[in-house]
Amino acid sequence: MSRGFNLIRCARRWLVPPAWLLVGGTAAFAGPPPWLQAAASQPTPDLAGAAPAVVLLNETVVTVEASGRSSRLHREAIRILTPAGKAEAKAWVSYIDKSDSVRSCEAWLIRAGKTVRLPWRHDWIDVVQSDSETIYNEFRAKVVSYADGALPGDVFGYETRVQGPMLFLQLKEGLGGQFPLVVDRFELQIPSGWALNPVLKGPVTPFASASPDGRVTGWELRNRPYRPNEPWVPAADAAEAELMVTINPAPGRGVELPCGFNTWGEAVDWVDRLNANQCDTDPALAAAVRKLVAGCPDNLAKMRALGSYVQELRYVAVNRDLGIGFGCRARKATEVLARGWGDCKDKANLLRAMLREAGIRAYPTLARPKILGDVYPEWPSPGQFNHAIVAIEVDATIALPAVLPVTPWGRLLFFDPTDLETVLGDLPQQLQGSNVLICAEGSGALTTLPALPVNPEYLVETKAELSLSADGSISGKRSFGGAGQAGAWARHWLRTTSANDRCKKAVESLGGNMQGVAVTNVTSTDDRASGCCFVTSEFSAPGFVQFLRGGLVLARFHVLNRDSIPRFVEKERRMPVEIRPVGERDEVVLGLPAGINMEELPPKAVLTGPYGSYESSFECEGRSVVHHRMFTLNLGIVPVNAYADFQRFLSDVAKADRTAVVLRQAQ
Amino acid sequence: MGTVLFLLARTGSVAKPNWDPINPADLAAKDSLSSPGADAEILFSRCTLDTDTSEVFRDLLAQHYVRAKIYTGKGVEEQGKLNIEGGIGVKIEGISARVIKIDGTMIDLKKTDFMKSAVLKVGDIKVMRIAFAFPNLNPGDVVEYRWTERYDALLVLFHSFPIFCQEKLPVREFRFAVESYPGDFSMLWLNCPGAELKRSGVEKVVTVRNLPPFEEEEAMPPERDYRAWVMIVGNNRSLENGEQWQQVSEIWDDEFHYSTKPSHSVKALASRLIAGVADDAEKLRRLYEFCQKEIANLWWNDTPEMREAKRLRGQSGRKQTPQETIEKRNGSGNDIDYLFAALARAAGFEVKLARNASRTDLFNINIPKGWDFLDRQLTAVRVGGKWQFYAPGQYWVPCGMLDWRDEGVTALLCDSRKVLFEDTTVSPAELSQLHRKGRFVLDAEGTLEGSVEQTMTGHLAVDLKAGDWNEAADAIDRNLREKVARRLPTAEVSDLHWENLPTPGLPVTVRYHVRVPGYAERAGSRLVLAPGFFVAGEPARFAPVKRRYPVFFPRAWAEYDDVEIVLPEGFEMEQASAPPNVGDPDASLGAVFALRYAPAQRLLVYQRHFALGANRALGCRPENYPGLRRLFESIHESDTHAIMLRRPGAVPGRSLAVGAAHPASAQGGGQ
Repeated sequence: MSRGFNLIRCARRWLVPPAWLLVGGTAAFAGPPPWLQAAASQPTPDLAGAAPAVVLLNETVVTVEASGRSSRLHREAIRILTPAGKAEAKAWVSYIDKSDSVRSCEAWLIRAGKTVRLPWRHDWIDVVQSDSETIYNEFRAKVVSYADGALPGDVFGYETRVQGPMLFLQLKEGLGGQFPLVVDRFELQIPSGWALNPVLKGPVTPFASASPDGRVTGWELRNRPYRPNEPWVPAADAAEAELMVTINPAPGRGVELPCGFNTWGEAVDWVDRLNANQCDTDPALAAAVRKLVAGCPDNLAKMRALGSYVQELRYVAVNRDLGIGFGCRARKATEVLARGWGDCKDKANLLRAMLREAGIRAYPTLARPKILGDVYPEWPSPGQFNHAIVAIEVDATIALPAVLPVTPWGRLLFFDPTDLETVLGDLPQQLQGSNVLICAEGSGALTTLPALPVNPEYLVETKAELSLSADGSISGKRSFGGAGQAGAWARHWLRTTSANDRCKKAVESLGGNMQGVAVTNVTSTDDRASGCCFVTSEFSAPGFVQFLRGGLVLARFHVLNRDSIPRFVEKERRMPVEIRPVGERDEVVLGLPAGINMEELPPKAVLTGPYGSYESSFECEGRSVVHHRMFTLNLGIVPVNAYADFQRFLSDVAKADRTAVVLRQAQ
Repeated sequence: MGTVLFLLARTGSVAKPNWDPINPADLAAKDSLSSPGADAEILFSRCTLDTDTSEVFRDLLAQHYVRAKIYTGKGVEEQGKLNIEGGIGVKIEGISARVIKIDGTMIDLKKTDFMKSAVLKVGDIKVMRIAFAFPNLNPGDVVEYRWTERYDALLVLFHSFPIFCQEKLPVREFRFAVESYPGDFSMLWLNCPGAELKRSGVEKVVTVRNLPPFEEEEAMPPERDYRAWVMIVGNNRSLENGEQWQQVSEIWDDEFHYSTKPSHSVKALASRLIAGVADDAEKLRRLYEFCQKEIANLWWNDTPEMREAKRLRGQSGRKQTPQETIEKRNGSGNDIDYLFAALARAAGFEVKLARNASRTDLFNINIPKGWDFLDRQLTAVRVGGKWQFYAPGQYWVPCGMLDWRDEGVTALLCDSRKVLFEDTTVSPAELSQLHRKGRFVLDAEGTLEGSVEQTMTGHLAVDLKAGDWNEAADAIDRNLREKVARRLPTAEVSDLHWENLPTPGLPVTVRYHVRVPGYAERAGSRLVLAPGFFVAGEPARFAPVKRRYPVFFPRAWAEYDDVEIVLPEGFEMEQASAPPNVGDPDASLGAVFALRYAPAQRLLVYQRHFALGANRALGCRPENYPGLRRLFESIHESDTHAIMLRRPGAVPGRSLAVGAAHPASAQGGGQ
């Protein structure tokens, strides 16, 4: 319910002293520290170009204590260059509640070498980092914004220090980002006798240096150019360099320290220990499984029944005790079943327990959606993952796209019980081609999930049967959907559209290109065994064709959606393009009325290239015009030097789609 | 009851909630009777206001109790978890919830099921949230939950308490009761057909039944004018409604007249500015332009000097007098408006303060306590016996216009003797023009290439300037490129150049070069050309067949398109015609078209004039929606109107056996 006082008109200040009187510890009016003064005194480098802001210094110093606690000091100085850059005068420090402690956070704004005294106090605000699916979250952040006080030419700087226990003796850092930067530096300080095992990834290799005693190691990027936001950038290129470090303590220490992982086997052991008692069962769970698999003729049917059941459970996350690793620990299966909700690891764990009751073995598997970046085999760490799925043992009779032979377990069917729309046997797009970690005895390496081919996995099939009337109106039906992820897309449309809204949504989808569309009925078919899901709309529209003088009639096939062809409006590109798979197979049959005949059809068009293919044809079949169209974009990376070629291919496809059929009224 | 709940919450003990008995028919229901197909339905939603008598300052307690029936899986997903958030000075207490399964089994949520966290902390100020997920929820189940919000008593006395009782879900019964209130109050409800009011001693209860789901529609009036809502307002005076308006009007008028009293220097300035001018409108234009152009507006000028001035202005803690505004040559928007009012008074005009609600907030202010929504102000000046409205403090708005949120609304003309309402005018379409000029060449492959110039005035220019003034130059260019590419996916836009984007008062112009491969569609040997380059590919408006609420456009505007296309050599037009005219652009809505062809230069000239609200009409009742929709359909049809180009003597690609393939014999000529 939308309730509550109109706080906009609130006269709180009469009742409670302003926030800045109550908050101690911040020092917005204190002078800037020497490091910031030094950074601010630098001239703006030429490499800033047209960027709204330039990072003069971005420095992180992590000090690891022999007790396994760490302290993270972060400093940043950023010069605002344009009015749009004012938004960058903000700071953010993340921490885990009840585990970390934000020891200090301070911010300054410098104008012409002097600290700016802003007209109102800018306090650090402590916010929970939550989303609509999470009802409790220990991830918090302190944020402050000086955007409303900053001007072009100002330097905004801040310093934060967070202390707390380390969950793992491992760290992952990104260097370089969107804005041009002068210095981006990460420094790691470790106790004497400890050692580091760093792994570097990314398009740029930072300069590394170490103190003679090996206790202080630094990595540094300097003078990097502006990388403006561009669409379809590979997730791995978000940072210019990624640094992953495993810290190995001095041998023979008596203190129990957090884990550092040098092999994937060690990481699996840690996850297994944490979840040792979570995959439990009880009579209620056993009874639920019996009920669900009753009548299932084989294991595949049982897996489908149980998989669908767990997928349908609501996704609700409670992120608690993160500082002791409970972000990787599932809740007990019996508890999740009783509640009817859970997060990804809860669902994966429950499904394992249910499959076990049904006599099927499955393994918990850690994953990471590709959109968040790659999982690197060279750096064994549970910290690389943020998602959980299951790997189910299957025999040779089960041949599905998501089945993969994996040593030593044999054939494994990977399944995501959190994804509501991807059926058993298929994989969500974001997991295809990603590296996962099967958490089972004998696991010592990552497994790469299959990247399924565009056809049929992503092939959205659209079929339209239209009947043209002599007055130029049409009536007919249009269906869209497919198998694999194309089916998942149709399923998503159905799941997120209320029954009462389906006609309205169908009108919006069709009505963008046609005037006066009226949808009378929307039906659907969903076969979860094949994964095929289709949505069909019955509709009519006046004025589908344009009558021209002299009896000519112009028909455009606007019942088809062209939004799937990506548009790249910028002439130049700074980062590679990661092509997302696209597949479309369209068939439109336009039945002609008596008195209107075919005059001319567009020619057949065929385009092929390294990025995909396109084919379009029009034919006469009896009294109908039949249009076939097929368009695919294959998963892949387009390097910057091939961007113009890729853009041309897309432009050619869009151009080839601009066709019309000429009809003629009988005299 | 509120007191009891509060005390229990404070001691941490869990009171057994007092749930109402459940109707078996509700448990058995498979669908909503009032809104078939709904994913869920609010069976009842109750809010009871009470005060906590245990405190010296009696806090206000808002006790909520909601029961909902879930019908579908989507209903489970949407209603399955809830966040109840407090606010600054608002605490959440006494929360309880349960699920009632179809078979009547009750599942009570335990204390540990409610997740309490601070969503925001600043110093010792916290905004708390309690979140929970219903266990084992399935379609057919009923959920219910109750909680209490505790409001600071003093906060309540000065502020309104508005509640929308119409939701995205159908609401079978909404009950709003006031058992006691920290002070005198008024209760009102709007758009609640059949609402019942019952009084019992000091208690007042309003009940509304069978509210359909509220769904926003394209271009609709403010939701407060159509969505059901209830409001309680603290009363500091026990006056009847009319008297309150009078008192409010008088207070605002007194303050305004005191603050805008012209000093000697203001009078001298006014005389200087209007010296030699006889026409009243011209006098006011001069005063307006002085205020807008010669006084730096602190809201929109972002320089170190202005920042400092703003800081000092904030520190002073009092209003700036018109004389100070003249001396400092800067001021807030309100300071500038007050200077204008003082100058107008000095020039001998009758001037009043006009207070109005934004057109995005509430149209019909003439309701009890409607003055609570008048958070915008204008200066009303009597010219030729009529009230004209001005707001030079609106930095981008040229003289003769108001911000669109202030146009076409009812304003209170503040007066110490009587309550006066006056409608502000709507700027006609001619004041907000979009001129688009394109000079193109079409090649034999259908590629169109050439230059474009677009100029915007009035509201169109103001919207663009106000929206982009803080944007990065590359972002402004990218926005335009993307806008063109949405219509024409193959378009390549280059050489973008903007004029007057950051300058108030002047029209904004953008020029660019564009190349559109495949602009002319291929139809075998023919090319299909849509001469309306600037509207080609625009989606049709008003797709839904039915409409519940009136249509209401934010502003009137006019478009003038002037396109010249040199056709490819060797092609001729085939039975070309101009797009049909639709409606009347000089009335409420319409578009007229002209198409000419100069064969010697192969030059096709296309002109289009579209206008909405030339007669200042910006709305349409729901019963007239089908007609409006048809008009927009026809305009879209004319906008996408195409002409055929063919090579003389070319044989059409394919023909059906039935119906002879007519050799295209007509010469291009157009009209």
